[in-house]
Amino acid sequence: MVTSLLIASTIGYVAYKKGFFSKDHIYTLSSKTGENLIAGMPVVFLGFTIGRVSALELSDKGVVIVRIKIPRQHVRMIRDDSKFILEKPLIGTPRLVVRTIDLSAPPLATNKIPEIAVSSDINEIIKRAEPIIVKADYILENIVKITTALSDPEGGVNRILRDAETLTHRFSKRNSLLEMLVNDPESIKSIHETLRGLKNMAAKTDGILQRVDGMVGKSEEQLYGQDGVLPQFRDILRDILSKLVKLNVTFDNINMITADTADSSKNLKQLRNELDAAINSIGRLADQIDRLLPFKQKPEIKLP
Amino acid sequence: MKKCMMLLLLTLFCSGCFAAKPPVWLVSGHKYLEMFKEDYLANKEPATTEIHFRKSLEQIKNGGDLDLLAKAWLNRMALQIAVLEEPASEEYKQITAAAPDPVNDNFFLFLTENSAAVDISLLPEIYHPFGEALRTTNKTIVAGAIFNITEPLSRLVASGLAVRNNLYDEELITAAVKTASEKGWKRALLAWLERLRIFYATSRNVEKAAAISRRLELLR
Repeated sequence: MVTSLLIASTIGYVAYKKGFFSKDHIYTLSSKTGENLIAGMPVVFLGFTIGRVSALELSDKGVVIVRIKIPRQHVRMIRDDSKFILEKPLIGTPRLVVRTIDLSAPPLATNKIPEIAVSSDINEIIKRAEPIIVKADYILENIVKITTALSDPEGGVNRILRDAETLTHRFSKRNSLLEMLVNDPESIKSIHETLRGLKNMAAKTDGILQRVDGMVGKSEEQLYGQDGVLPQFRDILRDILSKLVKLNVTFDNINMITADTADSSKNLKQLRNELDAAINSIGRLADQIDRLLPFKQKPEIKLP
Repeated sequence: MKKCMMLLLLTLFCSGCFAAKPPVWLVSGHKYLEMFKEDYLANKEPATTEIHFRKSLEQIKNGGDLDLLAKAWLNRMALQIAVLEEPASEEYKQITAAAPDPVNDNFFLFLTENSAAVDISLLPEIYHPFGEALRTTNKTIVAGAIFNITEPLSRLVASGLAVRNNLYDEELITAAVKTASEKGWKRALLAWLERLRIFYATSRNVEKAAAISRRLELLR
């Protein structure tokens, strides 16, 4: 009898200390998504579990209503200025974290519905690594600038491409070609400038890419996704590559035509080398982007 | 135990994050082959188109994979069939003499020989119904199988094979013209329009043949 009483009182005491008999307070929160939210999920304050998510429901307004149950002894942690954050750790189950700065602030009114903020470890790491983010912004800005420059019909890159196309067109006419080689040093200079421009651009973007490479896995859909900046940039590079290859073919033709004019072929040889360098550089850049894209499927050479 | 589980999860996570990047030669080889296919079908400047194919071969050779090299040539042959040209098979024969592969050799047969010799189970899955249909030698069944092919290039390849086997009708050619037109593949479009013109001319439909001729003149 005494033993039974002792056992019962021990269980009762433990249950009391665990808050079994204490009255729970229900608070209502809202979330734009129910993703990662589950009933029974712990509500944590400073690493201690102070309650549980008791119910989830979808409101008429299309938001998720989250009810949390907080035992009376922990209610003092839930204040008017409390922030509720859904933390999604890289490993482990998600949890609802309460952050209260001022414990003396008025208690959270039961009719008030604060919104749950979402945080993930990856985001937290990025937030903390401010210098990296500054760099990332800089990189992104540069890439955006480049893509803008590429898409701007009057932009520098397009001017270069237009020049290249004009040259290709001029090369295709033998008369103007000979004129260019013999009497018009300005034209040769223009080709040099065109190629130099393309090479500079490749070198610049190569630098950007090296920095982006360090961020693989930490970046967002915006950078790597199907419509992200990098895939778009890759496509633009491929376009440039095609145009340069076209120019390359023209050079081959010119070499055949002018094989007997020593001075001209010397110039052309130099130009040809520059063109090859530009093609290789841009081609490598496009390949690097392909290899960087985590969303891109592994390339496969298969039967059509 | 918990720590072991965490370690295991971390290992799995990291192996996922740092999965090996594909080799450069494969990325480049694939890229140039795709550029070649697109340029070829779009009727871009032949010299430029050829450079893409050459570069693709160079890259594949860097990896030393004869199976992929054979596949690159088979892709080229399939494109030629898709635009109703005679496929150039010499290079493929040289490769297969050095490194025969049943799947590639079967696809080669499919492209070049009589359908009876082809093992349908070794063909890419997309061609299975078409392979079966070819054996029936029934134009309607062949056309039906082709219309069910979802991939535009494969559809054109199958249409080209139907023409080579003399198992085609007006509907099949018109569908091929539509496919080429939708994709903006000018070379294929012109080839299939020309085939349509010949079809009308040989079936004594002079008006339709003349209309297609005018269309061709405007597009060339």
